Amino acid sequence: MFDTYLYHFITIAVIVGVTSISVGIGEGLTGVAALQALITQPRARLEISKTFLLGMALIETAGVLGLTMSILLFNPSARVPLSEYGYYAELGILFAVGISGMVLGIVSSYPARAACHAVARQPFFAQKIQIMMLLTQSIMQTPLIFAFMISILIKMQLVTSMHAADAMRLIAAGLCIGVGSIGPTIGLALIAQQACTSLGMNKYAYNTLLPFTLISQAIVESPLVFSLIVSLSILFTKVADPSLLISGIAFLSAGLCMGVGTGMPGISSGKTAAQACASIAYNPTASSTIFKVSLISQVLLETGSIYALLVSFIIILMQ
Amino acid sequence: MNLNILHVKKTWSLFKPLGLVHPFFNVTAETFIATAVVLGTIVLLTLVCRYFLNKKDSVVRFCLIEAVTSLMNMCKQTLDHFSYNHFSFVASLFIFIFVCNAMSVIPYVEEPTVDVNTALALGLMSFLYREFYTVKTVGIWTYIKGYFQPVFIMMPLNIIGKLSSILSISFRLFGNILGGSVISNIYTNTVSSSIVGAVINFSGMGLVIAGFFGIFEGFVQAFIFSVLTLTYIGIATNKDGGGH
Repeated sequence: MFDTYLYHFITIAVIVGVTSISVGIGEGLTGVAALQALITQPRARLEISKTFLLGMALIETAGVLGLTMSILLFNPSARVPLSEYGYYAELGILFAVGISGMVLGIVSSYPARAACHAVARQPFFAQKIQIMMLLTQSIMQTPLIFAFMISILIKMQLVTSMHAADAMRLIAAGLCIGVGSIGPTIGLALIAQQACTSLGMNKYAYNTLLPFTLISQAIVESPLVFSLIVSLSILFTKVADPSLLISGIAFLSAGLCMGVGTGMPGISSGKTAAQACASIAYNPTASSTIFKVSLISQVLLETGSIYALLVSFIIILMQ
Repeated sequence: MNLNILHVKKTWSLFKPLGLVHPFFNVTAETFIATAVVLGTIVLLTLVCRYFLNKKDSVVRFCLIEAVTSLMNMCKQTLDHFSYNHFSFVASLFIFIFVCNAMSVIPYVEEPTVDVNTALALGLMSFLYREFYTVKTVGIWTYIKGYFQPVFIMMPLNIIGKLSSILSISFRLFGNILGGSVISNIYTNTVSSSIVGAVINFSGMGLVIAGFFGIFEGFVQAFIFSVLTLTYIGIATNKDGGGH
């Protein structure tokens, strides 16, 4: 086998590499959109460049959090000698922060791009479009923040992991929140993008759109909260028999079940709410009907993730 | 290198004479001192502002009035009406968090928001204020009934969803400020440990890093925190809006 340190350094390098690549892609896309917006409306250059800068600062968060996690892992002065399985368990942190940071970096450019175009359409309404972009982008960071929190908890448990089953348990916790954040992040981004675009089309819809967007984003986050719960319960459950590999595999399957189960509910409920945002912009008078239909369909769409939650709980309890 | 952020810091057990020795009752020394410095800075700034407000035709007076007016306008637009209670709550949150985040500019002082406890306390305060006004607007019975929507079985999930909103709002602040603090810590440590670093130090790089992470990121995060709180209050107090 390889030297166990290899896993340690792979974790550190891949986290910072993956997050910075995705942040680079996201910022590049935002820059292109800002230039296009400048071509369509050159006289709004001040507003467009302000929107662009704010959007970039929020996209940067993915990179900053990835870098912080890498440094916390690398920190030579606080390094505690771990067992062989402790280094394998660091892969859990890689999955948690790496996957969610990778998705967030690319996807959080959607609202920034939409906001640049919207400001080009409505230069005198730039301030509200910027507030909308800031709020939606900052709510989109919730998956990465949860993943960061779980990684800190995994890092605290690294010292006590002495068996293969223990290491698998920690990897499962990371996989659960990491894979589970892909779908909700994309769903949140779709809503955010459509909200900014709709604001550019109909500025009088602001007072209806803002609460609608925030409530829909809170509903899209509920699969994410399920995977956070499963992740936490994996972290705080003791392995029944550490010498058996099968108990570790049980945790892995529970984590993957919940992680994969959030994907499609997150994306599809995001798409539903995005379409509702567009409809509100076209027809603000019918907003309360659109509101109700969208909320009911979102709640129904998320039934799938509740089933995944039940199955994972059963696996964890009966390992 | 002092990067042991998540390790145990120096604590004071202030309640020891009362027999409370559990770690829950301990106070982290650095956070306590830093918060005291922040409060002192705010008092000083207030006195300076008072002095300038009395002077007619000064630039600072104009800037202050502009800043307060824009904050009031934002409050009015988000809530549909101006409410002095909400405005003072949100404005004080904004000023406190911004000064906390900008503390990294002063040498030897750590931002209090680097500690999870400060961020969690701020998140809890914003959450409780919001829930209080929700109850005041819709009534206690409708509020409790909201937890059993759409079906009875969803009650625990609704409660967890509410609690996770505290976590997300406070860890957003904590994570961003921690990132900035770690990066500037590394910069300071590399600079102080080599001769080349000492030359770089005179180029003003440290000022740029402190300015970006302390003041710009700090401003953006404080703004996000207060605008999120304000928007949630607006949704909560809007009777014909969407419930929770």
